[in-house]
Amino acid sequence: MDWLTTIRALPASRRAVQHQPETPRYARARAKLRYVLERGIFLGARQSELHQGAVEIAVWAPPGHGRGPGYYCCFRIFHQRDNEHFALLFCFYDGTEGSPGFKSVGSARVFANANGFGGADHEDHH
Amino acid sequence: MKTTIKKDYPYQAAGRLWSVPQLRLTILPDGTAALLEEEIEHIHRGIANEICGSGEALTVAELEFLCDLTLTPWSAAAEFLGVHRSTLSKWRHTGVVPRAVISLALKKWFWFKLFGGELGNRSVKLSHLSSEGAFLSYARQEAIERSLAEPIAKMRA
Repeated sequence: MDWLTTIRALPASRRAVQHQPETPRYARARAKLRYVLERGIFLGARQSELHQGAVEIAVWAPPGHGRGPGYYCCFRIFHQRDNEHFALLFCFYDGTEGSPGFKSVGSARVFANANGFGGADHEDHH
Repeated sequence: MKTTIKKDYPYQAAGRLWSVPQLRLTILPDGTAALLEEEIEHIHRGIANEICGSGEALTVAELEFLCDLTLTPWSAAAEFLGVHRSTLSKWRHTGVVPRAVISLALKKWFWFKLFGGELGNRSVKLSHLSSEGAFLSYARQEAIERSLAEPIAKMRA
């Protein structure tokens, strides 16, 4: 299943950013949400360990202004009772505030794979 | 899902803190607090209206914020100004858009991207057109009065 396409198709009432203490990076996560969904590249998926039945995906988007690290994000996708999905952005790394920064999709994919996000193999289970 | 309202919430965006009169937090079934994208967009439109209507010079953090909100590529902003994309990259190092006239042109461009669809064809008194700054200040107030943007105050730089 193409989870990134699924999230892209959701209305704004079914996509959210996990609330955090106010920091510049959290502010960027909110501001970049639409950009990441539009320009993002799917890196892999995994079953959520904490939330039964939920799927988590990793996405990387190139920086909008050219150089520097791109935006590495993780979304948790819940399947709700009304048979609709709900997507929550719960992780946002852009190389600031001590977070990892990835300048290429390749390096982001290596990191995602090391954190349990699989590609086609995982998708075959759905 | 439940909703919790935070009043006068200090909200970080575009490189500074803003006081959001009412922030609606959604509580997911597992207890996680989240901001829905529609709420984020509502707040960010209000902040964008304040940025565009402000008399202060546009900062690069604000420019990036406006680009994100309107899904405007960095290259399109450069093209609008008739400068090379690398010029905007140089501004990133200094943190500010260097000339007031460029600042005003960008603010007006973004304001019309956000609110021009609803307000772009309305007639305007000549007194509001005495300068670009006067027009943008009027435009900011118009967006608020027509309920297209919430008034959101700056807290500090």
